[in-house]
Order: sequence, then C-alpha cells, then structure tokens
Amino acid sequence: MPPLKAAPPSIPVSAKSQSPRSFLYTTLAQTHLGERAALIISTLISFGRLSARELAQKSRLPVSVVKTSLVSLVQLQCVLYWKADTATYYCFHEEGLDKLLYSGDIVSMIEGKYNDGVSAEIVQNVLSMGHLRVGDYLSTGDKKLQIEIQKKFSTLFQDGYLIPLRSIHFSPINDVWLRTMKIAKDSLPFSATISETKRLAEATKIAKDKLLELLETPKAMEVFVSHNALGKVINPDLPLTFNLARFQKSLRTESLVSFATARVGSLTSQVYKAILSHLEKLSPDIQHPFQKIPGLLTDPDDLRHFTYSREEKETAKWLTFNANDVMKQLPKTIDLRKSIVSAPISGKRPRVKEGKQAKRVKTEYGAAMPPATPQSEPYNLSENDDDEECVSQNGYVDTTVLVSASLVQSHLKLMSSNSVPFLLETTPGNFVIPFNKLTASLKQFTYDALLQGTLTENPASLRILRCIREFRLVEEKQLCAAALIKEKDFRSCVVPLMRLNIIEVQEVPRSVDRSAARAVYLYRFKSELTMELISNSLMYNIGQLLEGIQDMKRNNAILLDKANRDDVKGKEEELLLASELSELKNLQSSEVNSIALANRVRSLFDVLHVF
Amino acid sequence: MSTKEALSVLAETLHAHMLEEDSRFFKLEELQTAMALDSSRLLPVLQELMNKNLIKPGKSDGQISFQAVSLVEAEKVGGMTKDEAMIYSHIQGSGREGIWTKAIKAKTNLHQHIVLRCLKALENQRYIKAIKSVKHPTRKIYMLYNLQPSVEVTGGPWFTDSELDTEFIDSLMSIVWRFVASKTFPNAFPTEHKPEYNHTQSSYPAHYNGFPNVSEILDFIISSQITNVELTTTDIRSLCNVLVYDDKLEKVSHRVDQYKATWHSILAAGGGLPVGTDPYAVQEVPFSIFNLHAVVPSNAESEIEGVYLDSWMET
Repeated sequence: MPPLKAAPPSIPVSAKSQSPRSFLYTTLAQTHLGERAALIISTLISFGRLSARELAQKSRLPVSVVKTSLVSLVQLQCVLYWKADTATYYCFHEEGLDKLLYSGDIVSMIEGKYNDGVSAEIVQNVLSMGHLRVGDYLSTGDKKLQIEIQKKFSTLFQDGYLIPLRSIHFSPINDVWLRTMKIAKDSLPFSATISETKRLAEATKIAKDKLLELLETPKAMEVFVSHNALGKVINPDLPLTFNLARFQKSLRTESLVSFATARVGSLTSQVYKAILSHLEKLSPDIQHPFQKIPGLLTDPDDLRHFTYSREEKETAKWLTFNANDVMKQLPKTIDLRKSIVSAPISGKRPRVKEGKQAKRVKTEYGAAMPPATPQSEPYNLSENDDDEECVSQNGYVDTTVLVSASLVQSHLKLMSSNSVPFLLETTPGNFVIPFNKLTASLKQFTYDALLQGTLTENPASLRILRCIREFRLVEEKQLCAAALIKEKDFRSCVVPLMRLNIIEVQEVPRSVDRSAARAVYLYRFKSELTMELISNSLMYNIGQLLEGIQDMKRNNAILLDKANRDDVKGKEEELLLASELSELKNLQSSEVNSIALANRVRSLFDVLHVF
Repeated sequence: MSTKEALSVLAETLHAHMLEEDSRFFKLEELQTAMALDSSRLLPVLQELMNKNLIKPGKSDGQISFQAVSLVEAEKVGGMTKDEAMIYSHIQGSGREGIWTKAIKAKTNLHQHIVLRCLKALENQRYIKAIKSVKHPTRKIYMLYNLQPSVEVTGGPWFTDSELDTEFIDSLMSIVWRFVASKTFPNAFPTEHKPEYNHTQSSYPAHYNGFPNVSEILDFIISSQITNVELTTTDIRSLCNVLVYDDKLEKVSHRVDQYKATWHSILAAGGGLPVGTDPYAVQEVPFSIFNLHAVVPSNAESEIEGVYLDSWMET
C-alpha cells in the first residue's frame, strides 16, 4: 500500500496576524507568485534568516521544492542569500515584491514618459523576469526591431531606470556591511597609542567608504560596447535589472507636484514639475544605503552628521538651477502671463465717498460683511516710474510672450518664500530643492489630510491635534481655550485621536492617593510613533484590498475558469449566459476598483513610509 | 429723618472731605491733619459716622483706615438687617469678581438658612445679583447689582451666558478668513473672467507685504460693524491662531502678528478655479490626497467597497 500523502501545507493564519508587513507581502506573493512562494515568504518574515533545510522544516515543504522556489524568488530579488562558512542563508527582501506591487504604475509611467510601447514592454519583461540580458532579449524578438530595442535599452539605462545587476544585489546589505566592517577592523591593528573607540570610529569610516564603493553603479564606459552600425550600445551580455529607487523618485515628483498645487497654485506646480522632472535623475536616491543598515545611525551625533551631509549634497552644484534653466524644461503650452500680479499700493486706492454706505455681502454663515476692498484690485505699476524695475521683473508689461525668465523667477521666488520649503534660494537667483526638509513637510501635511478625511465626524479633532503639536504637552483646559472648543465637546473630539493612538495621555496626580477625579491629564503627540502606526494601517489596507480580489476570484472560480477556457475565449457572448456575462463584468469592475483603491492607499503609504 | 440730617457739623465736614476721594482709604493721621483735630476729638466723630454707616473701616499699609460711603449707599445699608448688611459688605468687597455663597458663609459665620434668606432679600431688592462664572460653572456667585462681571468671570467675548458661543466664533472666523484671503490672493474667488488676471492662477509676488496684521483685522471688523461685542487685538489673535490650527491661515514668517490665507483653504472653499470650471469633472491627473475635488466613482454592486484606516488596529 503506498504511503498516504499529507495535504500540501497552507499559509498559516499568523502570516496575516503577525504584522501588516507580513500580511501585505504574503498576500502579494500569493497573488503574483503562488501559494508556495507565499508560504516561503511568510516563513522568512516570521523567522528571519534561515537555511534551505531550516526553511523546509519550518514551512513543512520538501527541501527540493523549497530550493526550486528559492531559485525563482532569488531571481526576482524577493529573497537574498548569504554564504556563511557553514551554510547558505536566505532572507526576505522587500524590493522584489515592491517591484511587483508597483509594476502596473511602473509600466504605465514608462509608457507615458517615452510615449512608446517598446520601452514599456522592455521594462515589463525585466520586471517579470527579475533581470535580463540585452542579448537574450534581442534573440527572442523581431530582428528588424533590434536597432530600436537597443536604443531603447540605452535610453532606459541612461535615464537610470535600468541598472547592471551585480552579485551585491543578491546579498543582504547588513551582511555586506558586517563583513566590510570586519575587514576594516582587521586592517587596523591594536595599538597602545590608539584607543579602542578611536580605532572603531576609524574602521567605521573606512567601512562606510568601502560599502559606498561596492554599491556604486558602474559607469557608462563599463556598460557600453562599440557596435559597428550603432556606435555605442549596451553590452549584450550584461544582465540588467529595474532600478526601483529611480522609480521612487518619480513617485516623489508626482507627490510633490500635487502638494505644490495644493499649497501654492497649479501654474507654480507646473513650473515645479519641470524642475523636479529635470532633477529626478541627478538627485540622490530617497533612501541612502546607510539607512537600510540597522544600528548604523543610532547615535544622535552620527545621525545629525548624516542628515547634514545629505542636506549638503542637495545643494550640490549640479542640483542648483536658475530661471533660465527652468525655462528650457517648461512645456510649450504653459501660459504664465498675468499669473503674478503686482501688489496694490495703498496710496492709489480709490476711496469710498463719505456718507455713501458700502454694499454688504452676505457670507456663508449669514453674517454681513463689506465687499472685498479695492485694495485687492491689481495696480498698474507702469503708472509709477519708481517701480519700473519691478515691472520688468514681474513681467506684467509684456503680454505676448507666454513665459519669460522674470515670470519663472517670480514663481520660483513664490515657492522659496512659502512656509513649505519647496525651494531654497542659495544665492540670489539660484535655487535648490531641499528634499530632506520638504519630504518632512509633505509627510506632515499628508498625515493631516489623511486624518481630516478619516475624522469627518469630528472636524475639530484635527484642530486639537495641531494645537497639541504646538504646545507639545498640554492639559485639557488650556487646549479648550486655545482651540476655542467647548469643554463638553472636547472629549468627543479627543476620543477618535486616542482610539487611533495618535495622541498620548499622561496622568498627573494632584492628591497623595492618586485619585483619578483630582488628577490632571496632559496630552502629547509623538510624530514618529504615529507615523509608523498609520503606515502599518495603510500597509494592512493594501493587503486587505489584494486579499479581497483573491477572495472574489476564489468565490467565482467556476465562472472564471469557464471564461478562461480556450474554447470560450473570444466567444464569450456566444457561449456564456447573459447572467454570466453580467457577473463577469461586475467582477472585472470590482477588481479594477480594488486595484485603483489599493494604488491610492499605496500612494499615501509611499509618502509616509518610503519618502 | 435722613442719615445726613442727624449728623454733627464736624461729622458732616469730615464726610464731605472724604467723599471728595470716595474710593480712597484715609489713615487716622491724614484725617487728623485734614480736620485739624487730635485723636481724642476725632474718634467720636468717626464713631458717629460709623454708626450712620457713612464710613467703613479697612486696612491700608497695615494701619486702620476709613473709606467714605455715599449717602445713598449708607441709606441702603441702613435699611438692611444686621445680617444682610454684613453679607452685603462682603459682596461689595468682592467687587467685579463676585463671591461664592460658600465663601460668604465661611466669612460671616452665619447659618446657611440665614445666609440664603439674606441673599434672597438682597436679590429681591435688586441690591445684588447672581452671576455665572466660566471658571466655576457650578458655583453660585453674587455681586453688586450695578456692577458688570469681570472678564475672568464672564470668559471674555467668546462666552455668552457662560457658554462658549461657537456659532459667533465660527461666523467671526469665517469673516476673518475671508478678509485675510482677499488680502493674500488677488483673485481667489473669481466671479467673472477678468482680463487683468491669469484664469488658472494669480498670485502676488514673493516680496508682497500687504498681508493684514491683527490690528488691521480688528479695524476691519469694527469698521464693518459686524458685531457689537467689544473685541481686542488679543481676541483677534486667538481667532487667527484657531484658523492656523485649522490650516486656513498661516503666520507670515519674520513678521509679528501678520497672517496670510493658505491656498489649500481657498481650494477647500471652492475658490482658486477658473470661472465656469466644474471642480468635480473627471480629471486625468494622478491621485492626490490634496486634490479636494477628485471624483471617486461609486460602485454599489461591488463587495469591496472600501477600507478603513483603523482595520488593523481593530483586528
């Protein structure tokens, strides 16, 4: 009698319950890569670094199956490996699955940016394979298109979307760092003249430089080879992979443009978009490799120095621009005329005749208010000789040219003078984008907007939150007085904030018996903790939406199988019932809606967690 | 017989002299000098005035001193019982702050029934009135009928009958915001297409310094006669701060008490769009949480309707 085969192991419930991260990535792996991959991913997230044998033991999968699955997962960079003395260890790597999560957006962004399907197809193939060689790609395609494809590869490489794949991409950065650090320490022998602290500091400095050297992208001269007909082309034997960090910069551009539209105006945001798009390739990556190494930047001094050096890099010469540089990048259709209006001059204000009652305007609350004063009318500065310079500077006079350097300059100044640091004027007329400070503002405003959208029943909650943020540690009565809220309404506004763990309460006893009735309660807000909490909630929401799609497909598996049969495909209207067709349509629209929702939630997650 | 009629000439002269500065406390030495009397002759005069309730004793710089009481007041007190007069004097002493019934009881050492009876009698004669304190809404506080409660008691202009008048605050905030918005952006709420403005966006240049400060906002409120409540710059500042907490205004950097409206608040109020634009038209723009007019097509038949931010916390 043959031995009874055990049922294939399924994904444990803990994959969902242990953390939003585990839930999201397991669901994502299940959607794109299947049950086995999801089980391996879930096990690696649960246990951390494991060898293939340990992984098989924990996941209850046969070792051979684990090893086969690992090959694909490593290829897609969902799993990284590290060869230690005794065994090879595997650990989970988010980037691979992130590429799958962003894949739809990546492909549509590439298609939109280059306005052609070939580049998008190349990127789509790179994403689905993990990495590929130009030679392999050309061998499978149409030979007539080879020249065009090679050009597209070159463009994608030059724009930073494709990067050469190296062995370091398959290794966990923490392990690489530890090894580099060990080598650096070994290179500095013990000495009676140098203290251990100094030796360690020196070793860290050497190791940091070495790590950056290792991670440095190869230069173009190492990637390109000569071609008889095309001149320089990418080495066909060089494996290329998609650069997610480059795409994240595009996402950041998108978010910052929307942010500028909301805070400054739509025309200024278009000017800003032109700058951001131009600097996208040149600007440093959103996340520095050092930030990915746990424990490296824990010392406050180190962190301060690191932040300072990052901010210093943002003001580098190649990231500095002026109005003329921006003008070259602006779309031809943009019309900036009359977008900057001269300030009214009080002396020129037409006066309302005495005794003549000004017309009253009824406000939305029913209270009477006089109409906008004539001060808001623009004053033609050309009447004033003293302001001649201002006229040309602000570009009011020339109304035939859609865009002028002075107008662009005015928009740039508008951004640099805003309370949100969209731009920083380093020297007169020269600007840089202070990404570090700007993303902090973006996070703050996104967080507030998210709460505003969520706490619609208690709009005063956000007012209280901003108040707490300003006062840092504040008690109820002070809050009520500052926010002009009734004391009896205060609790109902604070409860949703406490329920979402946004604010903390501190009890200050006033009597020896610590009586709660006599105690004073202080409120405080901790930005990092709440930001992490909301990020986790959003991560869970994305997972929920993806899981919902899967559940929906599972519930309608019979219908979907029927629709996907080869003999039915293309003849659905003939072979399917009207009710089935309607059900299929509903399923499709639900899936599209869920994906759209997941992408929207993800865009918020990007701002709060990735940037 | 009136109070004044029965007075001696000396007492009358002294009272008249003291009434010239009626709120002042006179020390014995001062009175001796003023009347050119020694203490043995002055004391009976003071006693006479005391008996007629025309002066009241007090302490000034640790010395006994006296304050004149007007004839009307003295007559009023003269008509009261002893307990009523005692309670009345304590209420009078509390000034515009008022005094809590419990404090009256403690200070007079009278039984609660007597205190309540006296208070009722004084209230009926319109000598005193009960007021509500913002700080202590449950306490019964009394003060003289003709006095206005202090700001500490009433809570200032934002309180009506000891209740925060949120409707008044909200309408005033809306007006303040509208005024500041009109000074911050040249064409924030366009009603017709004006050729002098760009229909997509019109802004003042970065060097513009016409943003209003609290005094200008107060002047505007006063001149437009929006309210008859007396407001100060401090009140306007607190209103502006609330608008800052609501992200409708922001402080102008490097300027004291100067505010400007946020562009986001203009968009939220339906402004900042070209005339005739449908803000809720479907736009081919990437999703942004800051886009207040983004249209999300509802799909009633869909089972996956949406997600809740607190789903993870609720699990």
